Amino acid sequence: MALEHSQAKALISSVEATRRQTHAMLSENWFPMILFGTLAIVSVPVAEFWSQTAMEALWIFGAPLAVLATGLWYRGREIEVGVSTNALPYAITGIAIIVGCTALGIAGRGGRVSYAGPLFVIGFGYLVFARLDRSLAGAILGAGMVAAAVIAFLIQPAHVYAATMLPFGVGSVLLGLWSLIQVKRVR
Amino acid sequence: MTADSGRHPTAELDETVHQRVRLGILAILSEADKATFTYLRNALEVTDGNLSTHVAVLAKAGLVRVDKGFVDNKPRTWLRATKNGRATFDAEMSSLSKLVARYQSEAG
Repeated sequence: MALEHSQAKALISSVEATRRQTHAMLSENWFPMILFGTLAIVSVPVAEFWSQTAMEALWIFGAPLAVLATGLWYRGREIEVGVSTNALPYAITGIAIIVGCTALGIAGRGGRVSYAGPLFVIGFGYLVFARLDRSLAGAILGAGMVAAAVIAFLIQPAHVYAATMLPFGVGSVLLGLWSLIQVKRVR
Repeated sequence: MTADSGRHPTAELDETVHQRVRLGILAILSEADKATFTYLRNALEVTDGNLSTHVAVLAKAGLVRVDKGFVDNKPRTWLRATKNGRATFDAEMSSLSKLVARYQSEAG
């Protein structure tokens, strides 16, 4: 089987380009990033100006609805685009985040664990999502949240919920918008 | 036996997958869990007939699985790489990389 150097290189290059294009389609995540980021941003004034209970209620009811909306969005995309990834690891991670956040929020009883714990779980979950998507930006956001959770646990700054959740929300929305711009550019 | 033991890397290339479209099909299906016939056709820029021919070769070799179904009453064909298909694709890419490396070392 005769194969020239240039032919082999061209074939590898062509295959890699095809893989990159498919990876870009599969790692499109602007919808959940913007949705959960917005939820986080909205929860800040609720916690600051209303009550801790209202903020918890927002997450307890809002997070499962957001997960459901995300699942429907991915299902719609699968039908529209015609390519999909294995959803199981994403679903397991999403459920683990909700269960972990709820458990730590309740177990913390308003103490440092009740705010740093969920933030740590969300950050760790984002790291898992970033690993699945091979996303550096997602990994940086996840690592930043884990670090923020540890710092918040240790020093307990004033307005700790706003100080940790606002950067997460804004970061998530910005990453989502960046992803949306990339999608519009590719299509 | 591997290229390191003296065998030329071209001897390791798989005749079934060593073709641009078939390699492209496996590249997409090794990245994704599944893809539609339409997605593959558009991504690889081939005709329906051309893609059907290559898919049939890969399916016969047990490298891809073809599932036909309906979405909103419209027929849809989904393709998945089998375990063997993924392994064959990885081996082919490895052989091609070795070949390029060998050419480069010979040129250098």
